[in-house]
Amino acid sequence: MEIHKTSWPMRILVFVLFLYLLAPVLLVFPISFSGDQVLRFPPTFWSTRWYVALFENSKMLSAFSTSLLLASIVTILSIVIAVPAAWVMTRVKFRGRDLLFNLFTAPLLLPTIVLGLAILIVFASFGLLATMRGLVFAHLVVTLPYALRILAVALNTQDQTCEEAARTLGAKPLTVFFRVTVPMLIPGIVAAAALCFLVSFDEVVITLFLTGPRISTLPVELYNYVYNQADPLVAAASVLLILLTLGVIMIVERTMGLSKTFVK
Amino acid sequence: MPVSQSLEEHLKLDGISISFGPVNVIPSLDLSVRKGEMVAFLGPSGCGKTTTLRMIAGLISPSSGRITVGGRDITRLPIHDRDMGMVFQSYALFPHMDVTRNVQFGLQMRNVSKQDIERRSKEALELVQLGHLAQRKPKELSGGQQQRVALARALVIQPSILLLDEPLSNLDAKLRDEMRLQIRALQQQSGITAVFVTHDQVEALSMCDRVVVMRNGRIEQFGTPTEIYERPATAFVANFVGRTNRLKGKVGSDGQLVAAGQPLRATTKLSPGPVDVLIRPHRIALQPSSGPATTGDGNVVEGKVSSIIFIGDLVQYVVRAGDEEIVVEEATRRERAPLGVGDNVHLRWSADDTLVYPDDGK
Amino acid sequence: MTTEALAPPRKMRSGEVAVLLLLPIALINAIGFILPVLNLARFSFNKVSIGGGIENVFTWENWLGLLADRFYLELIFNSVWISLAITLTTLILSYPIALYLHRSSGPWRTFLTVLVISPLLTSAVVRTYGWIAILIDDGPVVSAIRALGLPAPSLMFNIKGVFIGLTEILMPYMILALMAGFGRLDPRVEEAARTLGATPARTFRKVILPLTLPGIALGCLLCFVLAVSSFITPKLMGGGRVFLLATEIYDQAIVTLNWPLASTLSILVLIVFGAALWAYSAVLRRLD
Repeated sequence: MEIHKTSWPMRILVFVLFLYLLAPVLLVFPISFSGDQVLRFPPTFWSTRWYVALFENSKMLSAFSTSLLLASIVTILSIVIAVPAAWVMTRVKFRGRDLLFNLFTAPLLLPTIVLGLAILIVFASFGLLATMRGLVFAHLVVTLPYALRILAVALNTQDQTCEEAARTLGAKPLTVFFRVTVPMLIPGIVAAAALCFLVSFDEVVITLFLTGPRISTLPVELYNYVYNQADPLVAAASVLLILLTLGVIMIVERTMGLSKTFVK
Repeated sequence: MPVSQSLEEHLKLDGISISFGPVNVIPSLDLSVRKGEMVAFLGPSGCGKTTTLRMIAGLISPSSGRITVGGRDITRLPIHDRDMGMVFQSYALFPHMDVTRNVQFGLQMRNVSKQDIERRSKEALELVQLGHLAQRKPKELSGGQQQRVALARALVIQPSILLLDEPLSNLDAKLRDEMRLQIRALQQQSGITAVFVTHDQVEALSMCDRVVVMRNGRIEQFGTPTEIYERPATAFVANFVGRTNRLKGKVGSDGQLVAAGQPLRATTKLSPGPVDVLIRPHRIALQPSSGPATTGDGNVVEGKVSSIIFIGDLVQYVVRAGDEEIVVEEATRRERAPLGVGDNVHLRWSADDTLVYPDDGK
Repeated sequence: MTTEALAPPRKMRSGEVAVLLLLPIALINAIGFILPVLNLARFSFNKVSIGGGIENVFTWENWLGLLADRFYLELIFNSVWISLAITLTTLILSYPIALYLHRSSGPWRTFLTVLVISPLLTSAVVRTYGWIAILIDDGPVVSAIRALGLPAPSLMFNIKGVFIGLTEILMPYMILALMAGFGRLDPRVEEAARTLGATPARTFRKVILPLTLPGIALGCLLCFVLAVSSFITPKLMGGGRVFLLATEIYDQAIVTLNWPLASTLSILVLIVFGAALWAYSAVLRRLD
């Protein structure tokens, strides 16, 4: 124990490094309450004017509702598609299963800038640019690998004798799936859904390639805004985004915590 | 005592075989279980006992052979149509359902009327004395309680066969003794045919009407507990069930058995060659060699006590006789002056207790 | 063979059902991933006609043009070099945090781990914006330096700002990779080294560092790959004056509309990835 006692210089170093790591996220909170016209820290006086400005910015508001709708659709579709796929991947044995699993999760390995361009070129000929359908499809390419991976791990660690027990008790395969497998999978589904929602809601690089004046998401609008000017408006939006993320994480913690009391 | 046991054949395995990849786990297995009896599959891990049980349940299908229940071929019948009640080693209770819902699951699958579901699940829970815990979730129950829920869940559907896969192995020793009696009582009350997989000889011998001893996917012996214990068919069975002394011996061309440097008597028919001689430790009587050397139809071997191990109910004497070490077990008694290390003794046992098997080279 | 034996008897139908259940994800994977990537490779051999349209031809023009153009050669060289420097800096800054986290325990460790992961869940745009606020002229850092009487450096709209921002943005990845690698670091090994008379410094150099090398290699691979393909931070903090591979891909695709050239640059990024992966496995092989 003695040896592992961290020395004071080391503690101070770690503290400074943590400060560096968290500085940009922490700083947007005070800046969002700035009363200044331009980005300045510390602000000369405090106000909530930038929150007011944010809620009067129709572009940002419509981008926000687009993002919310997009992330919701993507999350639901991801779960609906990934749960059966993960079930096949963990419950049916067939040749080339590992290969297929790697192929299905491969989009995660590709840099988003490359994937974005690749999808842009293909979608252009399909007429999917700047459409909700196109955005949903492109986001699914990125969220499905996450969902598949989380759900496959959850299904693999789940006690499979429960499914066997249900079968010996007379349940047909479909009944086993809906009355035993899925209810036991709820924590995994919640985790996968939360991650899909956050990934879709925060996705910016691929979305940049596929959005236009007709349709845009909140991260893309924020990107465009920062690219053109630097004022505290984005700080206000950032604070709300961070709070939203925290909210999703807390829902997961609650549900997972709750389900943990029910399961096992 | 079994209440009434017909000789009617109920479950029949006919030349069942299975391979996992290149491994031929069970080459060919024939077995017939009577209606209302409880049969144990006993053997070391990897002997194929659980695999056989899972084939009966339909969780895996045999590569070849036939399984029939009451004359009906079920080999290719899907699991959910087989009408088997199975109790799993891990109990496999549904974690998201309470005790009642767990027990009712099988009835719901059978489209039993709502009233009957309520009544029968209640009865089943009363049967295992868990009526007061009906609303609990499985994780709120102790191991023994979970075990009883699993039992109730399997019995409530009144299956044609009850399958038990090492149901007691996750319980502590004391609870295990209790559950042994309870499971046996439930089985006899309901008169259900049961197959019980275990690696514990005590469970197999004490609970079951007949015992199948398995090794490497083959049946070594199938018989009543007494037969298995008193007349083990092979050296493996003798060694696996109960404790034994194993002596290297030889049968001469004249048919005379020699072991521990002495001629011995046995009631088994002997053919010349190297043999294993097995004697159960508690079937050997130990006397100081100063005492009267009574002869009879039994065997008497001289030896010297080399160590004494006190185990509580038992005392184990390790006796050196010739170039063999023989273990003798005696119940501890107060009145008898204990022997000491270094004492010369006579070992005495009857010819019936001398089990002789051809040397299998192991 | 195994499949037959282990599968339930309803085997006959389950094959078709499995195909049906995998169909949606397979379609999305094929149309949204495989087809676009193959198409991208094909596009790198197309060319832009005088009128601005794309000619479906097979020419090495893009590839040869890239290798002949000083601008692009410098762009590639700079991207790789800067990414390497960022990776190294990230490693140095992340190592103490990871080591500290590895040695802490209980709720304190959980809390700190959440702090490390939380930036990952925050949008890159938000974090980059935070850095702009910190590094902007008249911002807290520049003001502090000026207050010390030193000449105020310009940290925004040049490579310095991009460097500082990207390093911070990549730190969580590095820390998590290092912590995964530290799993091999048994505290008793350290204790053993110390009881054998090694000084803390020697213990670190001879025991801790070698044992944590696989984690270091993994973290470096991850950060390098992410740095080479990073786009948001260089674009926003570079103010159009920092040219890297990823920003050039975007500009060619969206501004210049030269998709064949953008495709060629993308494939080039994938080639750099391949090289990094090769270097990583070579390092791992030497470690074993």
